[in-house]
Order: sequence, then C-alpha cells, then structure tokens
Amino acid sequence: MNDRRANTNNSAPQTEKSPGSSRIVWRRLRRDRLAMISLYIIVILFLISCLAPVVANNKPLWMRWNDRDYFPAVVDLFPLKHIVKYRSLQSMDFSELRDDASVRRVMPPVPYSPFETNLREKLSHPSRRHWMGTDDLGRDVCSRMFHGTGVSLKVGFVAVGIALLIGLLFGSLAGYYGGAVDIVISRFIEIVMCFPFFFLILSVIAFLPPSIYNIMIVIGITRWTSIARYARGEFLKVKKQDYTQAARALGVSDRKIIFRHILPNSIAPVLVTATFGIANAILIEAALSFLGMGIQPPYASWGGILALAREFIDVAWWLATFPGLAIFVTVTAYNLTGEGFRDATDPRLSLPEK
Amino acid sequence: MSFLKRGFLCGLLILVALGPLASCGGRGNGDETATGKQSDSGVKPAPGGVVFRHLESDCKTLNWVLSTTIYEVYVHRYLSDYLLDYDQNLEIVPVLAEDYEISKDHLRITVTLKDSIFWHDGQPITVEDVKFTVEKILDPSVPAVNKEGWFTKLDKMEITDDRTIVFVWKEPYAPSLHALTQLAPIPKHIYGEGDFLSHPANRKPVGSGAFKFEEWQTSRYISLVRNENYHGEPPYLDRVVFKIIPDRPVALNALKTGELDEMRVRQPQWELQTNDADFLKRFNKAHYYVPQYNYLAWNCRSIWFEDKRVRRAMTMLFDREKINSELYSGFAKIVTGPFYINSWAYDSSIEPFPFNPVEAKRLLDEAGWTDHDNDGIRDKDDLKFEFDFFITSGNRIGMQYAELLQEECGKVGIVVKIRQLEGATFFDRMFKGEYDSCALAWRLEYDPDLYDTFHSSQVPPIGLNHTFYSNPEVDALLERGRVEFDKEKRKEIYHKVHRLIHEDQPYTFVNSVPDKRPINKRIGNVVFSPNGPFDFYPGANYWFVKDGKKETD
Repeated sequence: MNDRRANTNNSAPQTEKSPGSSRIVWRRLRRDRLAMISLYIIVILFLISCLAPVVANNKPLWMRWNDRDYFPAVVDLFPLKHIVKYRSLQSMDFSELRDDASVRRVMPPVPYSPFETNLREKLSHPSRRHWMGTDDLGRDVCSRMFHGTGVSLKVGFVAVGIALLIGLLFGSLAGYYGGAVDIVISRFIEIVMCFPFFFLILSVIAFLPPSIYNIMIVIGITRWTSIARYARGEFLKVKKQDYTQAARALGVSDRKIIFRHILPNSIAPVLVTATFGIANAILIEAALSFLGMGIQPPYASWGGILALAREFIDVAWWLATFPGLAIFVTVTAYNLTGEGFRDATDPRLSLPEK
Repeated sequence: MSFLKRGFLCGLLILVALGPLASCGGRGNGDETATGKQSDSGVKPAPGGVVFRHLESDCKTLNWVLSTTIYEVYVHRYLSDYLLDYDQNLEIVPVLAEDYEISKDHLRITVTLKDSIFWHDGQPITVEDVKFTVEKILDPSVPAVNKEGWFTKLDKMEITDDRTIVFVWKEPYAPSLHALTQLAPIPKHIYGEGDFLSHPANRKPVGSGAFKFEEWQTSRYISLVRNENYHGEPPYLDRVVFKIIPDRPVALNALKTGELDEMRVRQPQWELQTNDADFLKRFNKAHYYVPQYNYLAWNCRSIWFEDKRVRRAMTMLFDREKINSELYSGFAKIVTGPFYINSWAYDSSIEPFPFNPVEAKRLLDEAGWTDHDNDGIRDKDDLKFEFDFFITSGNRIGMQYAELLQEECGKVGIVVKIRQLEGATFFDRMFKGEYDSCALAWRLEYDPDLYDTFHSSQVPPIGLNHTFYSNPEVDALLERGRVEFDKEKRKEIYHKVHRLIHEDQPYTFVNSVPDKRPINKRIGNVVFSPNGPFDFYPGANYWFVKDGKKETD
C-alpha cells in the first residue's frame, strides 16, 4: 500500500486546498465503504465521549425533588458546577436514591456512575443490570467503558497534535532549506528514532507526576519523527514545483512560501500518517494504563480495565473482552480511515467501483 | 513482630507473597485449627512416591543464610533442620540439638547437639558449623538482614566441647530462645572457603534435613530426594518436586490435572473455581491464618495525620466489615492490633472501631478540618485535605483498599490521591518517612516483641517505626516487654500495648487474610499447626502418597 501513495507532480493541483479538490476527495472517500464505516465509528466514539455523563451516570437526567426540577446528570456535562440552583444536589448520595420509587426521575441508559463501588455485586457476569458485568469492586464496567472513551480519544488527538506540530516544524525546515539544516535535522530525527521509545516513555513517566496530560505530552514529543520525515519529503518535492519557484522569483518571503504555498499542498499525506499515529497513541495509552502508569484511579480507561482483567482472567472474561474489543475497533477504525484518506487523496489510484 | 529489616515490610498481601519474605514466617499459638484436616483411616504409610508442590516464583539462592523469600523457606523446610524448632502445637522442641539449658540470669543458653547427625555429604554436623553460621549471619558483608536482627543482642558464643555451644547474651532478652529457633546451621567445610555470596553450593546446597538436594532447573523445577541417613524417622516419600509456575490460572489447571498436589489459591479461585463436585472429591480445601495482617499506615508526622482524631476518623471511613464479608466472603478476620491473631499477645477483647462516617465527620470537625471555603473539600489553615495514598504498582489488593477509601473519603470531603510506586521506590520512601499514607502488610513472628516497629526511638532512618509513632507509655511497656521472661506478665504488658496502639491508631489495622490451599487427597499425614501445614517441625517431612504412582514429572 505504501508505494501507492507516492505522489507525482500532477498531484499538486488536486490536493490543493480548493473546494473542487476537497469535494473530489470526499466523493472518493464516500465510495470506500470500509473507510466510511470507520469514520462513522469515530464520530460515534466522539459522541459517546462527549455525552458520557448523560449516557452512564448514577445521577438522574431529570428529577423532581422538593417540587423543583433538577437535571443533575446534564449538569455533569458542563463544568458549571457552581450554579447555585444545583448546589444542593452536589452533596447528594445518588446511589441511595436508586431503589427509591417515590422520587420521579428519568435515569440515563446506564444508571451507574463509573466510580460507584458495590462490593455485593463484585465480578458479576454481564446481565441486564450490568451490560458488561462488574469489576472486582462491583463497579459497572459499561459505565467505566463509556467514561474511558474520552481518555483514549483525547490522548490520541492531543498527543498526535503535539507530534504534528513538532514534526511539521522540523520536517518543513529540513525540506525547505535543505543543505546543512537538512543534514542536522535529519540526523537528529534518526537519533530520536533510535531510542526505544516505549522505554523512553516509561522512564519519563516515572519522573513526572502521573497525569493524563503528561502522558499526552510524552507520547507527542516522542512520536513526531515519522511525521517529520513525511513532511520533509513533501517539502522537498513541492519546493521544486513551478508555482513555488514562481513565488520565489517574485520575491515572496520564506515564511509566506512555506505557509501559503508549500504547507497546504503537502499536508494531506502528512495528515494520513497522523491518523495512524492516533491509533498508535491510543495503544500506547492502553499499554501505559495496563502497566499502572496511565490514568490514575478512580478514573477509568480502557487500558486500565484491561490491566484489571489480567488479575481475574480466569474468573471474569468480560473484563478483558470489552475493553479489548473497544481498543481493537477504535484502532482499526483509525487505521482504515487513514487508509481511506490516503487512497482518496492519491490521484493515480482509480477506486474500485463498489 | 520481626526484627527483620527493610525487606521484611511488604506491600499488601500479594506482595507479601511474592516479595521479600522472612526466613520463616512467624509462628503463633492458639486454638484456631485449620479446616480440611484429612482422615487417614485405613491407609498405612508406605515408602515411595513423589509429591509435587507449587512455587509461584523461582528461588534466588538455596543458601539458607541468604534466603529471603517464602519460596526458599518452603524448600529449606525439607533441606535444612533448625537447632530448635516449634512443633505442631507451637512449643519449642530441640531438633538438631539434643537439649538446651537456660541460665538463671537468662544470659546464657547452653545447647548440646545430637550425637549422630550428618550433613548430606556424610560429614558430621558440629558446633563449629553452628558458630560459623551465626558469624556469617552477623557478617556485615553478608546480606542476611532478615536474620541478623535476632542476634544483635548476642555477646559471644563459647564452644565448651565439640557437642556443646553456649550462647551468651549482652543483656536479658526475652526473645533469645526464639532466636535459636531461627537458626539452621550451614556446613562450614563447604562454605568455609570461596566467595560466600556466589558460592557454587548456593545452587547445589548440602543440608541437614530429611530430604537431599537433587536438581534445580531454573524457572522449571527444584527436586529433592529422600535422605536415607536422616537423624529422625526416615521420611516416606522418594522425592519432593517443586514446580515453578508463576501464573496462577496455569497452576490451578496443573493442580486439576494432577501435575501439582497443592497450591495456594486466590479468593476468586477459591470461591468460583474449586467448588465443583469432582474437585471436592479429589482435594481437601484448607485455610489457615498465617501470622500476618494488612494495614493502612498514617504518617503521624504529616500535617494530615498528626492528630489521632483524624486517624480514627480514617479508620471509621474504612468499612472493614463490608470488605471482609464481601471481598473475602467472611474468610478474613478484622484485626485491632499489631499481634498475630492466634497468639497469646493478642487481646481479642478489644472491639474494632466500627464503620461510621457520621462519627468520622464529627471527629474531623473537632480536629479543625471543616469546609471553611465551601468548595466541598475540607480544609484547615488554608490547606485543603488532599493527601497522597501510596501503594505498590500492580498490587490489586492495595488498589482495592485505596479505591474504597478514596470513595468514602470523597463523600465526606477529603481528596485521596492514589499514587502507585514501583516496589523498590515505594519501600525507600516508606523508610525515609516521605509519604502521607500507604497500604502495607506485616508478616509477624511468634515472639511479640514490637520494639523495632512501635518504639519512638526506632523512627526512620534507624528503625521500622515508619509512621513516626510516639507514645511514652507504649515505649516504656515495649522496653519492659523484651526483658520480661514470665509469660503471664509479658501477656499483660502486650495487652496494654495493644490497647494503647488501638486508641492511637497509627495504623488502620485492616485484616488477617487466611492462606487458602487445596491439597490433593492422595497425600496422607498432612498435619496442621495453627499456622499451616509447613512451617513447624516436622512439617511436611512425613507426608506420604496413598496411590504410590506418579514417578514422572
């Protein structure tokens, strides 16, 4: 697949940021059924991660309490915790409300909070009460899965965003200026690539206080090398294009050439690698959480649930199955979307007429 | 409690099992008998057969002086006999010794060795070997931290003739006889020359016990064969094979297919996977309380826990009843003090603080931790009540406790930040006192001397009093306890200590979780002390197999 995306000179007009070309790409992408399904999956995951507090929560979506209407779960959606109207319910123990039929309320589809323990129901099988079973403290795995979705997606996007910034910066400098700058940066990229990056991440994490943002940053600053190389390659190529030469001949400043002329024309293939990077970052986060260095308790992440599964693999299959499946589906979706975009932006490729 | 140094303090249960452990677990006396005793009616012990035992992790060395983990102790229980030992009823009996005598002033213990005792290579065991072993334990270049504590009060050893040795103590010291039960001689003619730490015999030991070393395949198995020249009754088994299987599901499977005869199982396995009729037909399920307890430690020097009302409030926020009934199906026992629950030193009349968030809130308010700025988190002097709770990474039991505490604390406005640290870093910080709170477990000794862990002079970096606990009354009692030889008086002293520590709550004593061990019914003569089927004399030496088969491994 990789050599298919090798561009030729005539790619430039098509990947150019004109409405026409993006419409072409979009039309081609829409014909790729796998990529479209993957795209939908990603959109759904995003919706889940944004809406987790109203999808899985032990607070009611709506409740009537002392003759007033409250929306405790909806409030969780927004960081507006200091709204006076809802203060009185902040300290309420909603788990005690569960079996109280006298209060009129509408519960979320998964009526459990990801943090609420119930030792009496520890390690129970998936059932109608607990769709994906419970963990060893009796917490609802389904709820934890929903709330963990955001972690995986956030890590994927922020980490790759950082990697993209660093990678594009180094790649464009090396590609555009060439010569000594190119040699220095390219060797630097090679040096960074030589680090066993997972161990690097592990050792850096060991020194930093554990937090999701540190993980994102660390993944970002270690995973930019392939992006830099792609960017460098694209820059080298686009630099030789007639329009770039023309811009230079007209005396346009370097900055303007880089940002207005070269970058828009070389970003598409770079973004494709970034998609794969997201998949990778999600896996790394899962691995770190698996090792207990990722998300800190009581917050849930897929890798964290998977780590728990290792302890109870012989008695609780559901602990391994659901997060494992979720990671698999998400990573596959990102990879397929990436491939779809790659094919769609490749002008030489005629798509199968499906 | 042990004198043992750093390696002895272990992260909660799992780490106790896997981490550095004592030479011998402690011993207790009491009425608790293990369930699952076998009736061997009608089956006569016959020589022959092999027993397959389980090791969760490989041994590091089979040099007794250097041994640190419970797995090495399992092997040495067959390989090496002790000078004195505890029997099934936890009374001290001579093993390699013929007899012992304690002088009136308690300063001299005279030990006479048996006449015809031999090393596995045929050389006689002499008092020189005994002296050599103690010297090696006390040698600063030998890392025998878990043993040297017993002998720091030893002044010298006098050899009067080739069968008699006198241990002379610097001062009266109540655990001195107990110290000799912690001593298994090693052969001087083997270890006398060459580098002690990397001696070839460390992997090919010459012992004194009922079984001789046969073979050690790293990470696969360790096999022992019957010692025909054993000084006691000859054992029945031809061989004992320890299979090294780190993965418990795999080991459980091996147990079910008959490749193992016994193993220690976890609570979920015990409840969910070992209860079918076939399993119960083939196995006896034994559980017994080893001298060990889990606890949450509160650093009494930290700003959060300097006030004992706060420490009590924390205990009241930790629902031990629910943990025991739900997480352990009622198997665990709540402990209220720092002694082995089956020992005479433990005062069982002390009631544990109940789970009571209302009372906890009141205590916190009283101690000045109220929510002044109305943000949902308690504070005092502009400091929010947000503390770190340390556990060793990968320790699920520690994490369970931490998350349960975190949840309850959250409800009363206290933020618990759970920090997972890798084992070595964790213990390092504990012993420097650089922590707010943590979850740990102590493995105890039969002798109840707690000087090293609760005396105020033993705070880090000197001793093991890692919560910086200080109570002059307790100090005085602990000093008296270790020079008092009358058991009734000692009991009184330690009951007082127990009550005082309970009042002060430097620890939230959590529970004592039993070892759970199915043992194949084909094995006969399995006897239990209060502390399990292995850690006493003669322990598992006289097991036999009823079916006689199983010659292969």
